[in-house]
Amino acid sequence: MKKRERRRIIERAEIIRSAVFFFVLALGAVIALIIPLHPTTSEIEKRDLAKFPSFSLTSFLDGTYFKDIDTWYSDTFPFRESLISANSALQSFNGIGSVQIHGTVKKGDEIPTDNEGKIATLQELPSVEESSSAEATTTTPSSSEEENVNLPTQKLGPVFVAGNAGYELYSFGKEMSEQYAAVINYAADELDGIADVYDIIIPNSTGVVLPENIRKDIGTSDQKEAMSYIFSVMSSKVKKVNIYDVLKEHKNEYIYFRTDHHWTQLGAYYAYTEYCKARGLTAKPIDFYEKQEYPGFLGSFYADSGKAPELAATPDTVEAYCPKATNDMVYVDKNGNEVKWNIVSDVSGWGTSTKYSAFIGGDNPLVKIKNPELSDGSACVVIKESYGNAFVPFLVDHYENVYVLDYRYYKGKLKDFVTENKVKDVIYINNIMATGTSLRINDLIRITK
Amino acid sequence: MVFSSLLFVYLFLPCCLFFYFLSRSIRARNVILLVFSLVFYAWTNPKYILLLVAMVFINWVCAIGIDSNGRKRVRKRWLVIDLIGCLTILGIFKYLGFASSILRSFTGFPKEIIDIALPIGISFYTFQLISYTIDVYRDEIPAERNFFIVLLYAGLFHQCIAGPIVRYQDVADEIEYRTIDSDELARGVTRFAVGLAKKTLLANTCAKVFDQLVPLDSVSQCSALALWLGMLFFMFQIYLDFSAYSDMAIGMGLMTGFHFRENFNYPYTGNSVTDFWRRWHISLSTFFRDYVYIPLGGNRCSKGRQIFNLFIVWFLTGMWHGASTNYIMWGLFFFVFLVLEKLFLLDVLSGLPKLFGHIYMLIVVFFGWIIFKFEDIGLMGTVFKGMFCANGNSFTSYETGTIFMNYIFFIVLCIVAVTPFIKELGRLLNKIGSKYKGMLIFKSAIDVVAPVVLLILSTMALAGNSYNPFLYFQF
Repeated sequence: MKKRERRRIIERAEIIRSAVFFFVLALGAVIALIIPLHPTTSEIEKRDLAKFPSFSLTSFLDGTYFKDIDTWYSDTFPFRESLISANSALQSFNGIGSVQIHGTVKKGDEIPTDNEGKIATLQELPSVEESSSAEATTTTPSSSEEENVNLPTQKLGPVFVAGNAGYELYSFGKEMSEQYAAVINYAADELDGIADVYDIIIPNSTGVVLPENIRKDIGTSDQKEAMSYIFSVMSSKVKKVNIYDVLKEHKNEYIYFRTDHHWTQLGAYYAYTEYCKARGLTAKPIDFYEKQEYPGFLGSFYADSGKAPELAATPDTVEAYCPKATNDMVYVDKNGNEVKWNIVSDVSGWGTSTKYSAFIGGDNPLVKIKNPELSDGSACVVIKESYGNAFVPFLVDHYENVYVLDYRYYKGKLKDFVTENKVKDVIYINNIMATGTSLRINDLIRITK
Repeated sequence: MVFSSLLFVYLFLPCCLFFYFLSRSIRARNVILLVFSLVFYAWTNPKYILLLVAMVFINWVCAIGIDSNGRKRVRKRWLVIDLIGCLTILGIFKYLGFASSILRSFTGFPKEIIDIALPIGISFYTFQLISYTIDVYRDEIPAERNFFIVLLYAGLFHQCIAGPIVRYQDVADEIEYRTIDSDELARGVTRFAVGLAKKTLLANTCAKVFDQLVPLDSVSQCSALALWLGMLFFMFQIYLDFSAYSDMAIGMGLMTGFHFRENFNYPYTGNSVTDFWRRWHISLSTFFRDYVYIPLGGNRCSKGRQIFNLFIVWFLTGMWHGASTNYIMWGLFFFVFLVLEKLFLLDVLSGLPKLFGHIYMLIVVFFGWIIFKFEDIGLMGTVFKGMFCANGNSFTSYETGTIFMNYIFFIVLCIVAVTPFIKELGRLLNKIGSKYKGMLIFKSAIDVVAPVVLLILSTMALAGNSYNPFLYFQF
C-alpha cells in the first residue's frame, strides 16, 4: 500500500470521525431543546420529575437557579426511561451472579428467646429520625392512576434480588419492636370493654420464601423469632394472630409478588383464615370469591433495584378476589372529600407499577364499606399500611360495616372513631418492616394515644 | 457546571462549538470562549465570578508592574504584593474555616466556625495565575497587556475548575494564533469521548460500589474484605475521575486549537513512589517543583536542607488538596516514602525486579488513599482496624461476596482502563495497518465508531444517574 493512499484513508476517517461525533452531539442538543419531549412524571419512580425553576434574584445569586436548571435538564431528558433501561441492561455486564443486593444490610439486634415476663409499655421515643435500614416499606398511594405518581412514596429497606424475585431485608431492632408492642398494648388497655384488639404482623417474602441458609448468609434477622418475641411482650388483652406458620405452609403458592414488596391477595387470604379462627368466624373457601387477574405488574423491587432486567423479564400478575356482598366502597381522600370507589378495581389499563392499587383504592386516610346483606350492626376497623389493602376485601362478607384507617394519613383518634361507629373489632395489621420503623411507630402512637 | 452532565454535553458544549466554528477571526473566537467560560463559571455560583475577575486583575496589574520596571527591587515588590494578594484570597476562601477550627480547638475561640463555600476551581486558577506572574518576574515571558486575554487564560472553561494547571507560556502563542486541522480535531473528539466515558461509566460506578461496600454510617460493621475491596474501588475512582477531567480538558483544547500538556501518565504503572508522582497530576507536581522546591534550593544543597525542602513541598501538596488535617497527613505520608526512596530505597529497588517496586508502590498509594478519603480521623482509624478484623468484624460476608461477583468484570475493565493496554493495542493495530489495507480500514472504522459509542453509553449512564426512585419521602 502506498503511503499516499494510507494517508488518504486515515484523513478521510478522521473527518468522518469528527463529523459523526458532532452530528450526534448536535442531534442530542436539538432533540433536548424540543420541550414537549421532556417527560414530566415518572410512573415507575412514582414521582414528579424536576420542574423548570422559576427565576428569583436570591436563587440566581446563590446559584440554586442554575443548579435547578441542571437538574431539570437531566431529570427530564427526552427518552430518559429508555436510556435508563438501556443503562441497567448495560450494568448487568459488570459481573456475574444472579443475586444482587441493593442498599446496605445492617445487622439486627439479637432476638431474645425469653421475654423474662416483660410486657412492653410506651417509652418516650427518641425524636423521629429516618432509620435507613428499617425504613418501612409500603405504599401505592392513591386511587386514581394520575394521583398515583404524584403522591409521595417511602423508601424500601435493602433489597436482595435473586433470580427473578426481590426480597426486602429485615433487621430486628429490640427497642423499636418493643415500642410497637407497647402501642398495641396501650390500645388494648384504652379500648378494654369497648372493643377487642387484634394484632396481625405480616412477615415478608424474605422471612417466608427465602431459604434459611441464604437468609443466614445475608444476615437478615429471623422473622418468626422476631414475631414471637413481639407477641410475647404484648399483654394478654391483645388477641394475637400469628400468621407465620400458615404462610410458611403455603410458601410454594403465589403468596408474595416477586417484583414488589407486598404480599399477594392469596397471601392475605391465608392470614384471613387465621384471623377467622381467632375471631370465631368461619372462613369462606377461596373459590367462594370471583377472581380477577391483572397481569403486567412491575412493582417497587423493580424500581428500587434500578430496573433490574431480570425482574422486567417476568412481571407479576395481580390476582384479585372480589367480596360477594358488594364491591362498593367510599373513601375519604387527604382533603376530606368522599369518593365512591370499588373494593377491587379493574387496573388492567393502569400503569405497570401501580397495579397493587387494585385493592380498596390504594392508600387513603379512611375507607368505609357497607355490606347491604347484613344488618346486625357488626363493625370492624382495620388500622393498616398498604399491606392491609389486600386483606380488607375478605372481611366485607362478615361485617355490616368495615372501616379502614391508614394510620399514616388518618388525622383523628382511634378511640373516638371506635366509640362513634360502635366498632367491636379493632384489627392492627402491619408488615414486619413497619414494626421496626420509628416513623411508623410514631404514626401509630399519634392515632392511638 | 460540570463536564459530566447532560446539560454540558448536550447544550453548553454544542452551542459553544457551534458559535466557535461559525466565527472566523481569532478575536471573535476568543470572545466566544471567554463568554462561554464566564457563563460556565457563573453557573455554579454567579457571585464567585467577581472573585475570579479580582484574582485575574491582581495578577494582570502586578505582572505589568513587574514587566515595566527594570529595577530588581521594584519588580520584587510587585511580586510580593501579587503573592500576598493571591494567597490571602485563597487562604480566606479555602482555609479560613479550617484554620479557625484549629484555633478553636486550642483556645476555644472563635465560637462560630466561619464556613465559606469553596469557590469552585479556586485552587486551580490561583496557581495558574501565580505561575504566570512568577514567569513574568523571571523574564521567561512578557506581561500580557490585554486584561481579557489573562482572564481567558485563567478562566477558560476547559481547565478552569479541575485542571490541568496550564502554564501561560504553553498557551500564550495559541491564545493569539491557533489553527485546527482535521487530525487534531479528530484526536480531540476521541479524547473527550474517552474522558466522558471514564467519568460516567467507570468512575461513577466505582463511587456507587464504594458506597455499597463501605456505608459511612456503619463502617465498623463492614467485613474486612468489603473495606479492602471498597478502597480498591476508590483507588480506581480517584484516578479515573480526575484523569477523565484532564482528558476532557485536553480533548476540548484540541477541538479548539489549544495544546494542554498531559496531566497523567498511567500513574498506577509506576515502579516507585517517586515514579508515581512523576505520573500523577503532573501539572501540580511540576508547579511545586518549579515554584517551591527549586527556589528553596532544590537538590543543590545539603541532605538535611533537601529533606526540609521536600517537607515543605509535601506539606503544601497535602494542604492544596483540601482544608483538612487528613490531606496534610496524606502529603506527609508521601513525604516519608519519598525521603526514604531518596536516601536508599530507590537504590535497593533498582537492584530488584521491577515487579517488586511496582507492588510496593501500589501498596503505599493504596494506603495513601485511605488517608485521603476520610476527613474524619476517627473514621479513618476504624477503617484501618476493620481491614484487619480488629473491629470484631468478620473477614468477609455474603454481601461482600455478592457485590464482588456482581462487579467482577467491571474490576477487570478498570484494571484495563488504568493501564496503557488499549493505547498499546491501538498502536499495534496502526503498525499492522501500515502494511495491510484491510487492517487499516478496520482500525479506521473503530476510530470512527468508538467516540460515538462512548458518547451514547455515557448518555445512558448520565440519564441513569437521574434515576431516583422513591426520592421524596412522605415527611
